[in-house]
Amino acid sequence: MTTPILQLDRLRMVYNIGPGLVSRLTGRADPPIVAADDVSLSLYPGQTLAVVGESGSGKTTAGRMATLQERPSAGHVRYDGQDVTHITGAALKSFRAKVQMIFQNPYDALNPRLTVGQSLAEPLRLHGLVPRSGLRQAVLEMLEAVELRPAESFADSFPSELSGGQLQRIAIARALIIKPRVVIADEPVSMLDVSIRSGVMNLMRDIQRKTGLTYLYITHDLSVARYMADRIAVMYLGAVLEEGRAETLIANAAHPYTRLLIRAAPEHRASAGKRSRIRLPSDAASQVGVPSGCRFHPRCPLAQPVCREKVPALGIVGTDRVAACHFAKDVQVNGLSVSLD
Amino acid sequence: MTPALNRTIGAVTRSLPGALSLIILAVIIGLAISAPFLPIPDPAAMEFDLYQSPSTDHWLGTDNYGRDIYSRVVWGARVALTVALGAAFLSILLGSALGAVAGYFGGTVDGLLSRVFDIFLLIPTFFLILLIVALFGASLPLTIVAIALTTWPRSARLMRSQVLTLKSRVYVQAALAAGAPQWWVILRHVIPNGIAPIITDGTILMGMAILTEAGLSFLGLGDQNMVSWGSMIFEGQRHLRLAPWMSIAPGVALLLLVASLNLLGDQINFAMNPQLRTRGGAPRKRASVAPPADEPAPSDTTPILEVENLRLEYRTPDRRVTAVDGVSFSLPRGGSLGIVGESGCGKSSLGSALLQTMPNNAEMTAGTIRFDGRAIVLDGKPVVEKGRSRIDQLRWKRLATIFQSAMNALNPVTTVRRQMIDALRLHKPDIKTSEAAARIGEVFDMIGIPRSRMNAYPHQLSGGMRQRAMIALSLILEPDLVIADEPTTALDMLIQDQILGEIADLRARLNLSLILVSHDMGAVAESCDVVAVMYAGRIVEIAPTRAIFDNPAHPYTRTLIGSLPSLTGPLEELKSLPATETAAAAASEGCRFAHACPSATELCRTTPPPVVALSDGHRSECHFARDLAFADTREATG
Amino acid sequence: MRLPQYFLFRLLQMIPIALFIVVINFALIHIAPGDVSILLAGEGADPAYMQSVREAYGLDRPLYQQLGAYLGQVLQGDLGLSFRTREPVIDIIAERIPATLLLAGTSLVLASVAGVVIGALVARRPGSAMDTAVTTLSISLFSIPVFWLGLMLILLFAVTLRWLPSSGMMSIAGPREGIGHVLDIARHMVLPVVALSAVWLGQYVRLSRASVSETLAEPYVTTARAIGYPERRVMSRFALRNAMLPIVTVLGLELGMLLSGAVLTETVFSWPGLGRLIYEAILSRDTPVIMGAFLIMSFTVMLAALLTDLLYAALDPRVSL
Repeated sequence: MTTPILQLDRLRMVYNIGPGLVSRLTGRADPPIVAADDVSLSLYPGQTLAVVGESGSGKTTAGRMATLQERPSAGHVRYDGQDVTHITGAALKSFRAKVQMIFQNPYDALNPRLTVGQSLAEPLRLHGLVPRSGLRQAVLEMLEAVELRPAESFADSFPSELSGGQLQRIAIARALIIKPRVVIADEPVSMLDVSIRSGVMNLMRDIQRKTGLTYLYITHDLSVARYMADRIAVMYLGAVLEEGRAETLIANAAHPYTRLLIRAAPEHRASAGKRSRIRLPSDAASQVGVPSGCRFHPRCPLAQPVCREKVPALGIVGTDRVAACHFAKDVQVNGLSVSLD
Repeated sequence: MTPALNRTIGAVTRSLPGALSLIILAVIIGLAISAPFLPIPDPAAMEFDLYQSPSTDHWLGTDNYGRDIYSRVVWGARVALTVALGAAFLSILLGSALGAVAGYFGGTVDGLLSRVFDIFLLIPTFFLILLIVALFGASLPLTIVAIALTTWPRSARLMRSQVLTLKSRVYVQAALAAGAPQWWVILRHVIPNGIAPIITDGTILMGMAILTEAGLSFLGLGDQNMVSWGSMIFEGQRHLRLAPWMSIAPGVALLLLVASLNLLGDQINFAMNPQLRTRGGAPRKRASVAPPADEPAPSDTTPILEVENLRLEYRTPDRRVTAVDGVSFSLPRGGSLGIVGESGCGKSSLGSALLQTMPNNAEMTAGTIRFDGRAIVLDGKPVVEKGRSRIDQLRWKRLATIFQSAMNALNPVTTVRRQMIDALRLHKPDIKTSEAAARIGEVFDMIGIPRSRMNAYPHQLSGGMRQRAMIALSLILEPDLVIADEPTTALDMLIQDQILGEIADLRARLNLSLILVSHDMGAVAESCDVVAVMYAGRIVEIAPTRAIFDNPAHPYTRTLIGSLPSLTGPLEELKSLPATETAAAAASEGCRFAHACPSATELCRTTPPPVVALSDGHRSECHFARDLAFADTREATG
Repeated sequence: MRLPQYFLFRLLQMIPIALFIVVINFALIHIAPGDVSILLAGEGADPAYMQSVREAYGLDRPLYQQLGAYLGQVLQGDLGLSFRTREPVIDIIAERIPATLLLAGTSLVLASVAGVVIGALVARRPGSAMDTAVTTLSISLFSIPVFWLGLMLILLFAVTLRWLPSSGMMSIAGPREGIGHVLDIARHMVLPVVALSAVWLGQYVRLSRASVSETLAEPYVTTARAIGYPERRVMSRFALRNAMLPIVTVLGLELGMLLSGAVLTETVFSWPGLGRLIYEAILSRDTPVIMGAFLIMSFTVMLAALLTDLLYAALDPRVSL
């Protein structure tokens, strides 16, 4: 396997360590929140890694650390083998030119006071990649590339005049206009209408095919992850529970959580009609802090006493695949119907 | 000029209070600027005609020294405006700088500065200014500085919250991620977008500053070298009986200036947030009709809900938008219907029309709704029987609803249990406390909410639990029909799946009739027998669930199904609509979907499609419905 | 945390603020032009008293010791002597507080109750002609300088029509006890209360209109209507109950502004309260009284903010104590 272009190495993100003097005096100090706990992910050139998780899984935090929007409390971010975790100044600026970001909310993606053309020209001006006279031409070409035609009229419009799908295409254009090598996309289609989503996803795939771009694609939807990605990492409450090639991970999931996510996919509702149902003991959101032992045990239909006590490590469960479950092998063979007594 | 700025200016100048206040301000500012050049007496010149009432010589009369009051009012405007501009400018400058620092850098800096803002807010400013002026001696510059020094926390807090909001805006994040330096982001993205409310608040600040200066002058702490309206009233007070005009004129001037500043601020605020003016309100009285005379008694085969040609439009002063455009369907007792469509297709408007909870600017223009054979809406008008509308007689006892819980559908200041008891008591006033408690326990068990959570407030429940509480509330009176509007949107996948499953189970167990409104084909598939697909206000296809997934006979339905990626099937390129088209661009003639349809012909663009009946209960509004229905289905569903 | 503990906790939080206000006072005295001892003792005080003030405040010692001495004095409730009457400032102020409370309290209750009711009624029909008219009118109301409104009321009802007394709290030869006394005070109260509450009314109408119309647009109100609650109960149980939260907050925060209106009103009507006292103190340059009044007003506002906080905590279950 080639070397990763971007590597997250045992990243840990803890918010609110040591609350400020003021909040301590006023008693408003909240307990620290572990948003990411030993997260390791590798992005290979020209490939897409999808990070899948529910709200609170730490998938967005992982993305923000990968772009250095937030610096991890511990661990390293490596770009092309170089440790970039704490770079600043010019080094940071050139890192930003190579690692770009696409955000979730397209309706908020563009400064409402600037025209689309001005917003698109901004990254070019910041990095001085194109002479002033060539800005307009570069912007128009980029609009063509994201299939917004006629490019002239899109360049002169304000964000308030455009639809969500169009805005997200412009946001993609802005991320790509400085020709980055890696793009981190945080749920780029989840706020779009279903019929528009596929167009944006197809566009991202086409661009990857043409330019050999690398994506980190963050989503809550396993089927979207499968469509977009070569590899999938499943996150839960700040940690990676399972990781592997998309096809094998979905076909033969080794973690009960992944299995549950697959069962919950809408397409199973559409085809199977009635299903036997597992009532999960509780919601993720009702947990305060991270549970002891396996972090998924309070909701796991297969939880055993050992799961409450011992943290399962990420272990190899197949070719190029890891999962963090004490019973990964059994789950792989028997699925959720496994009997562990 | 951005479109938003243009709209704001337009809306302010068009409104009566806005235009009026602008005119008054223009006159006052004009007079103040041109005071030295106007043919008016020197404001300090004393004449012998003391206490003259208003006349042609002295428009507003003269005072106890024989000075011309009109001239003094005009010169007083200069003081008032100086105070207003000076104090507001200083206050905003100081306040927004500190507020921006607190908001932008956050952390300890924010903690300390916010504490300072809070402390300053607790200081009675007028008394502090009064103390400062009393200690340091009265002079206009000092007054201005004192006002600014005590009012800046107001701007600071405003700016801080603006910056905090802006900091999380995606375009600010994107600029930072693109490598923009902090100063660039602040100058180009934060300030231009955050300054508007601060400027607006500036008009209020100016009004406050003018009134404060006037109050000080009235207490005798005015600058002795200046003509101020406050000190004119201070002098006028002593001669109230002899020369009331001495106090009337400057007071009116104060009132006009301050009121027009405040009105202007108010109008700008309204123009920037038009929903502030029109949102909410009590449901307005709508024209109603009497029940039809020849209504057959309901039988076992009577549908629980029948909708015929329902139309609903939203009216704003300058336009009408048709949200529901001739929708008909029928739901048998115990049946379930999924209504699927994307944003703006009219599905939620349809839901609100069925429940008669639409907002005041919505109007049903046609259509009949029958519940269990009895008309509740006739020709778009609610049916009223014996002084009570029929829908009110059905509410919650027979027709209940589940709203999106993420959107605050439960009263935040009342416990879940209390809300259940209130609903029970409202419809069954005689119910015993023990019976009510038993019923609530029963429903909680049914939905899977632990009884220990009964006395919780909505905010103490997780999203999934809150949604369950909403479902429990809807079932408390054993209704016949439940309308659920996006009941699982914004919930996590596993919870979503659980709740959809529970709705499906309950429906079967309680023989409920159900209407499930959703944007997600997958969400309705499990719980609904029939699925209706809406596009641009119409049901473009309706069919039994299996048929709609296996044999979609409308290109839009095919797009919806074909654009969902599969988790286990073969990986194929997903279908999508072209990027440049939106539903708003739909043509008024021809097929509504023609503008985006991958296989539209000239016929589609010119002639509205007929309703094509394909098989039992399968209808599609497409010229080519038959061709589509009998085409290779695997090609369509992918 | 239980409510009493919460109260204690918030009370402790107020201490630094109170100290801060005292420090402001101290700083102002020292920055102000003129001899500090004169400012503290008042102009023309006799040398012996001046000397005792110098010692009490340690004016010949370093600044931080002076601050300590000043704090000590204030903590003991010693705000100095009025230079005009030679009475302790704290006593003079205490004497005037009831009259101010009577005037401000009555106006506050009248204005807030009427304002909330009118605002809620208008919020039922947002965007209507009535709404625009009431909004414009209430903006005009709080744009009126309260002292001027008072003068105009005197001009109309006392001078021209001679219906009501124009000044003071009671008639010189009026009854001093029983129902007659109460009625006499009530008659004197009418004009100042009208002036003061008219200005505040505008504020509360707008506040309540904005707050109620916001809650009426909330989804839980739609739920209530779908459940079938009659509109009156939707308004009281759902809309007003939730709308009260922001109203209570602003009420507490703006008390300082309201008190300044009371001072000006008292001046116009010669109402024997704190406001009138401050006015007299300004005219005679009685700085100890002005400073004392500022301190007392500040502490009052802080107390009001504290009570508002508690009220809010009691009204809103989302506040974690």
